[in-house]
Amino acid sequence: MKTKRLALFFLLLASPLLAAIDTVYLEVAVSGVKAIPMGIIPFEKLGNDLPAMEEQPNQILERDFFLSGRIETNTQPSYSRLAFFKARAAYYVSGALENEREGKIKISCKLNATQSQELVLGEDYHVPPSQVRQAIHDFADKVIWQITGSKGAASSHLTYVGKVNNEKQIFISDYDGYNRIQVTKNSGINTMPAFGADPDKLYFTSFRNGPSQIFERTLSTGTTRQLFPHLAQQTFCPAPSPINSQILFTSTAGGVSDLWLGDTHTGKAEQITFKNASKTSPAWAPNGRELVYSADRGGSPQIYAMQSDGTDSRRITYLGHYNENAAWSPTGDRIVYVSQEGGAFNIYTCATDGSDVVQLTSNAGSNEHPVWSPDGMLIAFSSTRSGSAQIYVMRRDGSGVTRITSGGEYTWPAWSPFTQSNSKGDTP
Amino acid sequence: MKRITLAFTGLALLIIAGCSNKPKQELTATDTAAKPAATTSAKPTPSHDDSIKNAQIQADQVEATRLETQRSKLEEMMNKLMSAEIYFEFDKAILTDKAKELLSQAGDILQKEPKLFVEIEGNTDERGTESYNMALGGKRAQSVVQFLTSYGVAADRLKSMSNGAEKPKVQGHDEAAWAQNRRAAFNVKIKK
Repeated sequence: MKTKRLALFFLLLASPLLAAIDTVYLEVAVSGVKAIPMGIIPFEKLGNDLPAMEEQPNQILERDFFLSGRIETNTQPSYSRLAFFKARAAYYVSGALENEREGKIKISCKLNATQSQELVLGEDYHVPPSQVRQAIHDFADKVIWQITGSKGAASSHLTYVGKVNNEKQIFISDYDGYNRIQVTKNSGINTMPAFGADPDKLYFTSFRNGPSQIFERTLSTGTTRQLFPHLAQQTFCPAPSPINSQILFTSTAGGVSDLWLGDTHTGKAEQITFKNASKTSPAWAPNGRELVYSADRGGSPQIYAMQSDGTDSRRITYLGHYNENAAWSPTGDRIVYVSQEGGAFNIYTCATDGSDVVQLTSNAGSNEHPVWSPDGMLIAFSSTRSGSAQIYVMRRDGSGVTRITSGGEYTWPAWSPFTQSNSKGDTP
Repeated sequence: MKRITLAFTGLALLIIAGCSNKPKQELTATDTAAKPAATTSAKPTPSHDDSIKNAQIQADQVEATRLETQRSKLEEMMNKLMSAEIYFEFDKAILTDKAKELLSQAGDILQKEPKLFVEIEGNTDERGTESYNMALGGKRAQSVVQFLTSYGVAADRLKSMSNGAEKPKVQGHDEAAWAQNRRAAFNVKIKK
């Protein structure tokens, strides 16, 4: 019995469904944000027979806080007023794990004041072993909210494309790559996924009927429907609005790709660009009124911005021959995009007027399709730096590059909006 | 009879040549025979019935022979068309001289045979972003459409679509593979 369980454990370890995380720790403060010191002590384990965990709660918290860019951690084996004071940590996190009935685990999480050891924020979770990580993420976001007054993205999700039997399928996982689920299972090419403003809606492009078409998947019910089936031409690149039921997408007719604006509720869609150049990769500004996109007016794609009715088009990028896949940060201040040089792509950000260009990746394979976390602190992207394309997250200044998938081939990440539990925390 | 779709790859052609001759003939036979059979059974007048039947059988045979001749002729033409995959230079949708030569031959066949209509699929190599490759594939397909329409083929017999980099002909990460994946491919159909 015991050996059987052990064998299962190793099988799970070997399974590609479990993410192997490796982080390149670069001690660079995220631009413009001062990281707040935070003490951590490993969680107590009460009783025996707690299921084995790949990472301990304190390790999960350490990465969540590190990636948040707003908290820097100092872990001590037990409470040490001196060590926490030295680190200037006014608060520390502690907790305990305990087996409960019906296979559940009780996780007690505490945020305490260093000096008085008094409880500042406490949260108990009663979850099956498979949800321990998500409970810890939830507490990490509650601490970030308590300490900084801004939402964290530790409870958010990513969607991306994985190659399965040489076909492309859509996956969803936690933002750290764990709890991965395969969403599409049809034979064919499914790609370009994006979460809607309602995180229960996932949009993607599929070639299941021959030419590319965009689809909406309701995750809770598992139903899938084609969007705008009345359009005879190909559709792809769905970009749902961050605030309502509108959706931008690309449609190709007569060899020219143009941008369209549709509504997923009414099923209506109208073309918003008409000039004789190929336009694609629409992405919304956080206000839901402007967008960035790429157009190849000069022969190769460059980044432009305009109003969602197609007016006021302005060019953003001038450096580089081939700039594509722009995304507007949820904080509204930066645009991330890829630029091709020497056959590989690298990730850049710039201000919304195209100034202040900062290169975030270099000499590390081809880096593509950057997208922002809902708090604007992280960027997810795919990279071939370790061989086949894998999904990575990094902080918005390019530090803290963390691989969250392994094995196979994964591309086109897209981030979920904040999940519900983030907004439940008390205001600080 | 519905439109008969023929895949453009050699393998598919072999399969079609090997397997689909009979079903196709059967389809044709039942299709043309269906209506007369219904009318004769509806009017059971014995004296006229036999002569109508015989005339009908003869007409069917003539029609079947004609269709079969036409079919094999079309198949030969399609073989020629489908092997004429049109290659492009990196990040370009402009037709090369070689491509124009092949397309002229395709144009000749299409002008001779008005029952053929063509879907043109634009493809790109794996370099470039996924979304821009979709746009580029569309431009490539359209380059072919434009050449053929200016060659005299009616626009409503031509349809363009893009596969982006999603349907590579050759797997591989080098110029040899990329060169073959930057292509337009024909998907030829017979209009009834």
